[in-house]
Amino acid sequence: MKFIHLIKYAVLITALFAIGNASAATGLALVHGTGHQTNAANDYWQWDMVNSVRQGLSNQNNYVVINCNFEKYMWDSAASGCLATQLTNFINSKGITDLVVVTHSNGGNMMRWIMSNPTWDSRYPNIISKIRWVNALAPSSKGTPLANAVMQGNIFESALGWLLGYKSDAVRMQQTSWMDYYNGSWLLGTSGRPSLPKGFWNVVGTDVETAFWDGDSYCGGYALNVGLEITQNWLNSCSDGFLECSSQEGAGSTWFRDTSRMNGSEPLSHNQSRRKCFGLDTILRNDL
Amino acid sequence: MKNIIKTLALFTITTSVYADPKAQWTADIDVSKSGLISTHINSPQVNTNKDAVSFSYKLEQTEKLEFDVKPFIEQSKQYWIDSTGNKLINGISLPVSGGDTVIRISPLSNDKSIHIDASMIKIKNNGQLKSINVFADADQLKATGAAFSENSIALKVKADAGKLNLKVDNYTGDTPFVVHVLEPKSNYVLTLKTSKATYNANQNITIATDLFNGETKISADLQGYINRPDGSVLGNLKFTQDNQGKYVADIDAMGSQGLAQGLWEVHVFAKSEDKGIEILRDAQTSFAVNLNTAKFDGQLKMSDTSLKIGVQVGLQGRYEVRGVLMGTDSQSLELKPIAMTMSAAWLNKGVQELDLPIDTKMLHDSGLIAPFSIKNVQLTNQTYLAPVQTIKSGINLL
Repeated sequence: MKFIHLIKYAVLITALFAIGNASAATGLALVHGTGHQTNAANDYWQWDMVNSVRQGLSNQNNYVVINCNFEKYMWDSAASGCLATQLTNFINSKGITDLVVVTHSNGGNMMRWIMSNPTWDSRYPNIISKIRWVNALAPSSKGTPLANAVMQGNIFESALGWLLGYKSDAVRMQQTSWMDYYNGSWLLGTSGRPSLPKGFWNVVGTDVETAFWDGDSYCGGYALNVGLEITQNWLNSCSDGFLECSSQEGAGSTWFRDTSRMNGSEPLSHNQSRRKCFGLDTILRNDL
Repeated sequence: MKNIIKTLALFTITTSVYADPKAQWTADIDVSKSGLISTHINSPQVNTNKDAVSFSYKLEQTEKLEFDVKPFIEQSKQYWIDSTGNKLINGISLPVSGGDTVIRISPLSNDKSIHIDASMIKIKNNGQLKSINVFADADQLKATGAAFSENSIALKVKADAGKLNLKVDNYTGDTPFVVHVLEPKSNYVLTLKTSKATYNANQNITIATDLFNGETKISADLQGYINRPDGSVLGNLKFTQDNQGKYVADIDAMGSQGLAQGLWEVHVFAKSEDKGIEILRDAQTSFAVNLNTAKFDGQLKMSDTSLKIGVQVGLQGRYEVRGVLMGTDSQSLELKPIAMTMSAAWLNKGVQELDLPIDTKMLHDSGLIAPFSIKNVQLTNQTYLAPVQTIKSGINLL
């Protein structure tokens, strides 16, 4: 674990050196997961998480909470296009020279799309040049069998599901065979593929607390409910209730697994890894 | 002297006389225009940006790169069946192989009044009433982060091998439902894979599938179909057993769609009987088909800081070329990565070129020596989000 810290520290020093001085304008961008967000600070991350993490900035106003339509495919203008617009506006308006991006879940795929396809959009190279690293909280880098479960079945469910608006492109994209194709062809950073132009550091949720008497189960406003007792049947023993560890660790480098750093060695369920739980906010704050 | 010539020459230990460096494809390039799509295709355009963009960045020499993209292997312990409210009230029969069984019931309707709770469900297993171990409603399911449909419910029972009779009381109507059965600890697994992750247009797609009980293959009745990215069905699959007992089906890809709407999909449904137990399994996997709207034309030209790669364009659009710049380790003589390099531009129909940047400083700083090469050279159509052509062996820089 210390070795990881040394690598990150070396990257930080190199980034600051490249910028030319140690007073870089460091910025923080929080990138949500699947969903169409219009107030992600309130609805997705919650303000206590946002306000805690941004305390690590020398200028605490240098942050942006992204609100895009991540129900769309990662290449869609409403998804990565929207993300590029908001990041570019943030970088330009605040004069950001050193950007730390924190993603959750499918937000990691959105950032990987930008970093894997710099030529897609003339704004992408500038964004990439400003990124110090991406801290990817429970990224769905290899998809999830739960996306298979809700998307697959017979032709009627899939076809009619589209008509009825049950399913999103993003869920379809996060099926395991689909992510396997995208990782092999359009995305970088998985095993055997060229690395991403900037670091992609995973925070991995390995387990869920299901004991109803354990107050920790309720952290982040998510009472761990019987839904997990259903969904875990699609997942192997190392998972955060939505993603297997192998997916969360499927691209980039593992920064840490939850129990090694969280207060009380608590695991982070998929929803808790975007909330102010067990000291996660402090770790992210200290990484700025 | 051009920078790139200087750099290549500096690191060529086998040559004492400077010569004009040349670039050469390592594979035969088909320069014919046959098969090029040159008219409008019925597929959405997702990138019509006209700005030329180039990008390159350093790769670590320790990176172990694998340019063979292996197809995904799907393994399924689940199946889905169609039903209706009328059928559910009378009870439907679900074959099970025994053990933990998860059943999900999803109405295919936006009718918010549809509501199923645990008290409405009766389950018999081989004629005996079974208690439900876990029941989760739609809110509880969605709170996990998974995108379950509105009004979906799921339950878990422990079953003996045979039949489950699932009955939903107090519910009538012809609303369509999907009933999804997962047997997470079952030994019966349906595997499915395509022979490649990406096919050339008009290439035979070979699909292999097998039903296993543990390590043992068992015979099965198999049905399946392929659908295109736009959801239309390409055709049904006819499986035959090859000389190793594997079930194989072939079908012509006939690719003329981009991937903006999604991937090509294979769906397979298996039915079998093993030791008197009926086994059902469904599986799905995906693949891509190259879109022949352009092709490399074999022309390569070095410039000061880039390599111009000739492209014959049939259908105008935004195209990208990318590859991995590699050099030779003077000790091990192995090729090692130096940089990822890529460039995209809008190309009109006809003979065009893309300018692949070669960062001579990165080349110099790498400490690697000639021969240099660019491996895994890929041409993609960004307008239609489609792979076009890949030459894994790439280009030698001589």
